[in-house]
Amino acid sequence: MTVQATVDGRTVEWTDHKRYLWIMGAIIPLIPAVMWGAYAATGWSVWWFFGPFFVFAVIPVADMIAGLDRNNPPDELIEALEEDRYYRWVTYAFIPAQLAGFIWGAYLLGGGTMPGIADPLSVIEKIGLATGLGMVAGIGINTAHELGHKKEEHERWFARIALAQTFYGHFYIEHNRGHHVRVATPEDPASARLGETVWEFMPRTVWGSLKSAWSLEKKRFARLGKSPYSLKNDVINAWAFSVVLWGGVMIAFGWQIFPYLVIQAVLGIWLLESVNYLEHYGMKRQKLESGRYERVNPSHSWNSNNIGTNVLLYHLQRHSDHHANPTRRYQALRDFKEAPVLPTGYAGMIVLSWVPQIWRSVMDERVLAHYDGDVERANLHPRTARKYLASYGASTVSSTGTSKEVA
Amino acid sequence: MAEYICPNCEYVYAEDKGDPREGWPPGTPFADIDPDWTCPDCGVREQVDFVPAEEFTGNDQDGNIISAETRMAASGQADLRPGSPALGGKEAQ
Repeated sequence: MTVQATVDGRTVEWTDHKRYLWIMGAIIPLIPAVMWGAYAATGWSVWWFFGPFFVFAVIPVADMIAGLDRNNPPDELIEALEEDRYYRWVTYAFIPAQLAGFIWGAYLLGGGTMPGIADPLSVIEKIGLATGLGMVAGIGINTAHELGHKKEEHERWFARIALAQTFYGHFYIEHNRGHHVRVATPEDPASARLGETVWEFMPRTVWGSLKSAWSLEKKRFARLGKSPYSLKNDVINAWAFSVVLWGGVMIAFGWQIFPYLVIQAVLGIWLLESVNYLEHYGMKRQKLESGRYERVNPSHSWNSNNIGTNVLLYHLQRHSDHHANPTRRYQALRDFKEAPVLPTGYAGMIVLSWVPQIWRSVMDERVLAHYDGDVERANLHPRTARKYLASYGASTVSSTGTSKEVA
Repeated sequence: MAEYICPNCEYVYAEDKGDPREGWPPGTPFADIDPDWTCPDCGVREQVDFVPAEEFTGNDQDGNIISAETRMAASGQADLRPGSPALGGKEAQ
């Protein structure tokens, strides 16, 4: 469909080729339905592990086949695109599908049967099912991310519902008021440093983000002159959704499902934090004379125009524009030519992050090239800083790094 | 009383209304707000970055007006969309 606006008597038109593809984002919560149907049809237990296979094999391959989309909406139409209600309904549709899949999964984890599933699942099958629920949960955090950035109060509540499955409600506070403020600085727990492995990054970001979320709300309540132990505390009310959801399914299907709920939540959080890891790897904002950091600009985030992952993650990979304009809706986010670009989509990059040696061999030279070979401008990790300075420090400045992928 | 606007997302701080949720009761002068208080909507601008609402012409990075309609509905302000009379009929750059 074509969007158009008249500016200064001039009519500007633009066709959003991804308009109907955005609905694909809401197919992620259908992963449980695929597992059910495929298992019912074949009786193969391996189908219960379809979730991770879809995210880490199907999506990366789809990215390689589908290619890139660098198309940007013209500036004049950004507002008209923002106001087009269709796009937000696409994101809202994710949530009931996510909840239905979670409750369906919890029923099976509790030993339930249904057409096509004649016997209760075995432990291995239940673990597989939990990994699938975890993939949906992690991508649900991305939906929550899109909604939590918006100004409309109801969308912010939808975000908390989408976060309930992972018990990660504090993300809503920490991400908006913590991560976005400190992004690409050594102080941000959710910005990965050059030479930091994803396995080191995980505990640092999970614990650091939790502490930061609590202290942000504590500070707000101190201004209000009230105790932070209140349901009005956004960390507590977001967690309350999880207590209700987890409590509800455990009352309905038995407390024995608890370990599986933990597995799916851990996987969902791990998926989200992996994305955090690659979004700002090595990037650093420089400190100004005033003591403040320079403003976030397109050079501080990794981007990707791979259609597959972009459609499934609501343009999250147009990350530079997102950080420049956090409240902007996904359909209006633009690709910046000057922003650094990842070699493939986020899903494929997560697979690379599992083996730090491979990750570093792909990414470190790109970080170096981004900083014109000046490693001191990158966000160095204390553990490996000396090694990096020795290998790439001022004396060995080279301009032979791989050429930056500038569109 | 004066109004101040976030030059990124167009959140408006009106002194007469304050922002009680953030801990600024109605009537709190903008000057009394912590300089490192971040915009409650976008988080990427601080108190020191805000501009008086009447001086605002567009996003301080790329000149766009991104949510003028929403903001107008909320505060009944002048039409600041590109091409509107309030901007002298000129496209914001």
